Amino acid sequence: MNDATLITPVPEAAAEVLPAVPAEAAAPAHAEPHGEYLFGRPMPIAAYTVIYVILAVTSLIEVFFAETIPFDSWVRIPVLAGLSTVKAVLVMAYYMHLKDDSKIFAVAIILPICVGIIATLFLISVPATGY
Amino acid sequence: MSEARLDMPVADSHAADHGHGSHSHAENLKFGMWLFLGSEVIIFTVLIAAYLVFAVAHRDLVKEIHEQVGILLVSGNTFILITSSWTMVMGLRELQRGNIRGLRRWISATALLGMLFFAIQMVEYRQLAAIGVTLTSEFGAHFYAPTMLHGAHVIAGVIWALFVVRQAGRNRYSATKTIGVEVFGLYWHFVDVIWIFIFTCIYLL
Repeated sequence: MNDATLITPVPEAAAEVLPAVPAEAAAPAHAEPHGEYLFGRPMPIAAYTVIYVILAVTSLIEVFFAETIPFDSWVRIPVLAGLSTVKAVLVMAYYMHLKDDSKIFAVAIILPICVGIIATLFLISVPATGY
Repeated sequence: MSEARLDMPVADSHAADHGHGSHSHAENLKFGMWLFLGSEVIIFTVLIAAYLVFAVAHRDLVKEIHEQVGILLVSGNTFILITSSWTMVMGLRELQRGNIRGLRRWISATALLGMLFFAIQMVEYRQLAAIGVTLTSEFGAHFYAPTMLHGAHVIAGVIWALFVVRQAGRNRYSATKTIGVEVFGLYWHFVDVIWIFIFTCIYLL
């Protein structure tokens, strides 16, 4: 422990004359989630808004794809599943702050998702007549 | 006990003994919410898996119903829910900047969009009932279970959002006290994530 951590708390009288900490500085680490930076690039608008636009465009692509590709085409499942996974990851990483928060939070949600996916794939692979 | 602890006021020292104060408390609350959401994943996965198993075995029936109803309404609902997630994070952003009025405005918009989503879902259910897709039909039983459970989560989220707006009006939140809004945000975004998968697995595939 260094000397700085051993400093006693500021007396109340002294605290009154100290300048107030700006709200942004006092907020938690992810207060300005990614500054106004996203994917390492500066953003002219809020990063949250950029993510929203990506989500909306991805949804539009999904709907367009579902409406134009034949119902029985094999490409429907991998493309639509891939697009929805991208959307879910964006929401969890940026809107739910998984990207910046403790990794244990990610484990708490990814573990049941993996169990669910494996169980679902197993159930679908079982023939209607059983093995 | 360290020198620093001897210098602390009694309340701070007590907080430190119990695990590092309000930051730790906030992290615990968030972890509790993530564990709850993990359990919710299992519930929704079971219902979506049951639908997918049914859909694989009855491709023609599913195709026929999709063609009759279309995806216009449900696509609109998807955009509404994505927009509500955006309004939610913008509300949190305003709170972190110390703007309580901004928080109330954005969270109110979130609640409004949630209500709109549920209203459109009811319109869709009426259309389905008109073509014979009811709770007692084979398709209906598999379709309504996940979508109705999701609708119930939206309603719970709307009530929670209105509660957050009320609490904000009573100055219960500030730029340094955001955990109440953050935990609600986790729930609301999770409802959005679940819808993303329901939309793809039940309406598009």
